[in-house]
Amino acid sequence: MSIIHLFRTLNRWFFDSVDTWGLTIFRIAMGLVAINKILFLYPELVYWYSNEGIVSLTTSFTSQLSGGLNLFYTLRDFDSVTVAYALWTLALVSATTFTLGLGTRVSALVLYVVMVSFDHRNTYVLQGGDALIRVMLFWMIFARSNGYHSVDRAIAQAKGRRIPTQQSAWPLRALQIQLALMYLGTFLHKSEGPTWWNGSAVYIVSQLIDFNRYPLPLAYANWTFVKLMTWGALLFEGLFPLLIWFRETRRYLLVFGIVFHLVLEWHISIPIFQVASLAAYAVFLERDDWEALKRLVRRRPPVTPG
Amino acid sequence: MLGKKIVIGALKTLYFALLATILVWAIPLFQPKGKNRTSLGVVIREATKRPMYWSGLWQGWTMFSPDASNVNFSIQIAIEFYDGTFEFPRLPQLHTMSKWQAYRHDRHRKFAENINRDTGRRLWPHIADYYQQKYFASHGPVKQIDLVRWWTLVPPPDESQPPPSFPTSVNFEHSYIFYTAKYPEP
Repeated sequence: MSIIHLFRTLNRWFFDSVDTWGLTIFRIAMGLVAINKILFLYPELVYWYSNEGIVSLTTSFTSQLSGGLNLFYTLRDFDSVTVAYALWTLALVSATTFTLGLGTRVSALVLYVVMVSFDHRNTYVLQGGDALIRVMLFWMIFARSNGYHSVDRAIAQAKGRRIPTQQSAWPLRALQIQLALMYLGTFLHKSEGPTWWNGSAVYIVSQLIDFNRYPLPLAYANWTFVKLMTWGALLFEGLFPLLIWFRETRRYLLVFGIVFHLVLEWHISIPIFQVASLAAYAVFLERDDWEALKRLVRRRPPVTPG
Repeated sequence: MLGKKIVIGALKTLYFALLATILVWAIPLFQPKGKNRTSLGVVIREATKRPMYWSGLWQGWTMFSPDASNVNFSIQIAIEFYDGTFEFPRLPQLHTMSKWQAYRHDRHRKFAENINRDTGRRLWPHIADYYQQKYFASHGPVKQIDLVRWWTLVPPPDESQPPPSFPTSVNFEHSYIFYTAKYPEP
């Protein structure tokens, strides 16, 4: 293979037209995750995001991250409680219209700006799920994700117009690369820690009382299982960014990843992160996957009584 | 035609530069050995700090890494009033809540984690002032506030015994005052 050939292949991979079905599924899934996050913010909105709470705007600026895109700062001359409720409402409305595919790109832009504002207003309460939603939403501003299952499409059809279902691949590739980088980063950071190599990391996490959710009795039956879980997590996070790009391994990795995150969701209390990761898997889905799943379900033998 | 090609070329360059920057932010940076040597990653991260922080594209995937913290802890606020009485509230603790409440209030865990670290020291005076104002209104003038860390270590794995079951309660064995704020009598 010549360098020119490699360059052309990469150029096609990044910029040729692709079907936007996966982007549509991602839009709906990530939109629902964003709505979930926004609803979770409501009970403690004043406590975390207003000057009457524990992290006033002044306090928030003890973090160097707070100085950027931040509508709370832009609106600092208004009553902070009113601003918190107003931005929360804007977040909920934009997340809903984004999920429904109504004014999709504008909704993505507004949702991104408001989500970043919330994250920058109080960086002391952020976890991985917030970061994943934020960095993935950015690329949705540029993605055409209303070609299927959207109000935009229904409105266009009613007017006798068509919304394209194809788009240059670059926003989709950026989303895919971003998700792969999340796993690569996680793997590389963990690979610096001895407990991940000696197999005790999962045991330690299981003993942190604030993370405990529901038990996994069999998993902790003996130390071999504990070590296998530790190494398995590390292996999966290391392999995902390498093998997700190949047709032969993509579906296996996605299925394993779904099980992996569902088990973590059951066992460890890290709200939003696991569901955000699962939603992000949609960027690797193709229409063929859905057809294959339907074929698989149809092929199942009927259950006979008795 | 040429103008369009130049614009497309510039946009593609910007796109790949952004992807490369995101890569540098997502992965740990390895500092080369030797005096005055800096890796390219450090240089790129430093150069792109402002736009990345501003735009919200900053990221670092460090959960449970490089090692999971092996400490169960709780933050207590010891409040001494000018009338000689004391109050000892704690920051909300997830393990004392129902599963659903703990799931909903997970941000308290993250907040306590940030206060507990020395890197969170810039927050400490603000936390003390928040409690001073809160308790001044309900109780009276506050003389002093101590932020107290209570903690216990997760025992190292003992492979001569089966793995321990899920802990349902915790007994904090150690305590340490990590910040004190004094307030003048009004």
